Amino acid sequence: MTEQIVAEGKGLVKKYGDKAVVNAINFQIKKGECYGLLGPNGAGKTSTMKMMYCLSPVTAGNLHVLGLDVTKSAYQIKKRIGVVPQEDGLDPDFTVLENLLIYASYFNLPKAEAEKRAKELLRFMKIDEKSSSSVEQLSGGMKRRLAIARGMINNPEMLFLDEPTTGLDPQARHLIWDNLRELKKRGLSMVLTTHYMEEAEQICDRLAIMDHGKFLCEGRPTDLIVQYIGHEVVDFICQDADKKYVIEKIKDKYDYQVIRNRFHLFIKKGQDGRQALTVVPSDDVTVRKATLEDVFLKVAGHELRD
Amino acid sequence: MNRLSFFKTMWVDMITFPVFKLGAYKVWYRNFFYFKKYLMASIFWTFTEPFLYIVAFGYGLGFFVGEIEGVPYLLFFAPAILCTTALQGAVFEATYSSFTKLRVQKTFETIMMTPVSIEEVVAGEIFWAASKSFFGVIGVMVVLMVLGLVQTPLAFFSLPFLVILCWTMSAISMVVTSFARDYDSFTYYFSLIITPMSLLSGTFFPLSHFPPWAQAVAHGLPLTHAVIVTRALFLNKWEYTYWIHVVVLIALGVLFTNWAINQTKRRLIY
Repeated sequence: MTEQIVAEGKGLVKKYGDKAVVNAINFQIKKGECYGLLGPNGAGKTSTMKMMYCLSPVTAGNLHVLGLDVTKSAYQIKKRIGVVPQEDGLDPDFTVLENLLIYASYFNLPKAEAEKRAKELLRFMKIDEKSSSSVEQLSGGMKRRLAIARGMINNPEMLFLDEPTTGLDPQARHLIWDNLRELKKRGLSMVLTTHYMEEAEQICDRLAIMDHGKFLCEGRPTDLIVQYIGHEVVDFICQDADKKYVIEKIKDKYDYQVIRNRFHLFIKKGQDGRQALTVVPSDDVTVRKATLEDVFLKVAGHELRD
Repeated sequence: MNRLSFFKTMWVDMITFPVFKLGAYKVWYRNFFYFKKYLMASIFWTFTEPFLYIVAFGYGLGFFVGEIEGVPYLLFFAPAILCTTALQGAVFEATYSSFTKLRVQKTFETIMMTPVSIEEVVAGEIFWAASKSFFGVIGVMVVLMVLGLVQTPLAFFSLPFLVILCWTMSAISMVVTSFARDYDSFTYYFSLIITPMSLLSGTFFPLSHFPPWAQAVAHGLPLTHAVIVTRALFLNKWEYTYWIHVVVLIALGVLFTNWAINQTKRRLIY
């Protein structure tokens, strides 16, 4: 084994009653990589992650984290991982610094060490100025950063982040991405769930797109884009009356997908996007780079989820 | 869940002993840390209320009542105020405070991401609620000493005994919390169980004047056992048969602690 595996699931199943929310998935997460779980709401991302950080029991299959079986060694695993849950779960009874110190005490960290680490982390997450503020006074982005600092307090070998930037403004989001990239540079293995494609493209080395508890595809973001889409997308709007005509014209040459009356033509490597423009009966047309979002819409479909 | 399976689950929960370790202390300490932060406010409230009760009932009402069973009313009432202090403190902490941490602030779920287990969280909460109410008990004891109502050294033995009462009531309240849907759920607990118990457990007047059926009901209430024992110690009338009341309270404490832990676990881990 050349690369170390930090988490491995085999035929992993999670059922609530009769409903399987995670349905026999297999995966391997390598040491030092950032692995993303993408999918629409209710796809099974959070359930998968909760099993990994030993909060939710496994219904069937095998799941090992840091080489340990989650059903047998939850205590040992929890000592060595960090978790940043979807709801921050910060303690409003305490200040920013106290939140970290109390959390550190659950890991049996000696007081002096806890204090040193807490201050380091607050500096690293750029919230050290708020050390003695009450948690209630923090902005959404700061709360998230504090939650990440809290997840790092035990110097974990692996960090789990459940939708780390959901609900944040772009500035706050970029700040968190910078932090996460920096943590990755230090060799920390990470697993994150998100439904922001940009986030996944920015920080995940590999990712899996999930829906209905299954993996639809898995790989490096750039590979997935090339494999499923190509390198460019011709994007235009087409009236219902013209739809048939356009499809007739393009169907032999290009892969495409229609979302209501918006057409996406996928331009593979070696094909010329501008050539495709000649058949497009619309002036409202763009040629753009293929993105992960195209992959997502292709594999997960574009129906609205609630 | 139908009624039969509810009772079956309840019984299984009560006799299933959960395993917990040092983590419970960490949870206890988290609460103590908060308590310490607002120490002055905490002390103020733990002393004020019992003090008001002693003044209002002991001196006010006591003036008209005179003696009960050959004992000045204030002395009859003093052990009871210790017991109701233990009761109120434990019940409030293990309902409203614990529910806030369980449901509103998600404190329990946050702790569960660390090596501290859910068993330890609930055990820590119960022992904290017990400690906090025992703190109030000590306060009232000091007030009673100052007022000259502690007239026999035997009365001090009521302190370790009241620790048991604090714990038992915390455990019972924690069970209620583990089932509660919202804060309103506690209204039933308070108006159907806690308030009647505070009034009818031989606290303000002796049980002997109750009709037999009411006496039987009263003996089903944990506070009745506590009041009997505490009063016996205060009046220097201890008999070895009173150990049965101690055993009843300990048994209730064990069963309800188990139930609270197992039920909360079922609620949070799925």
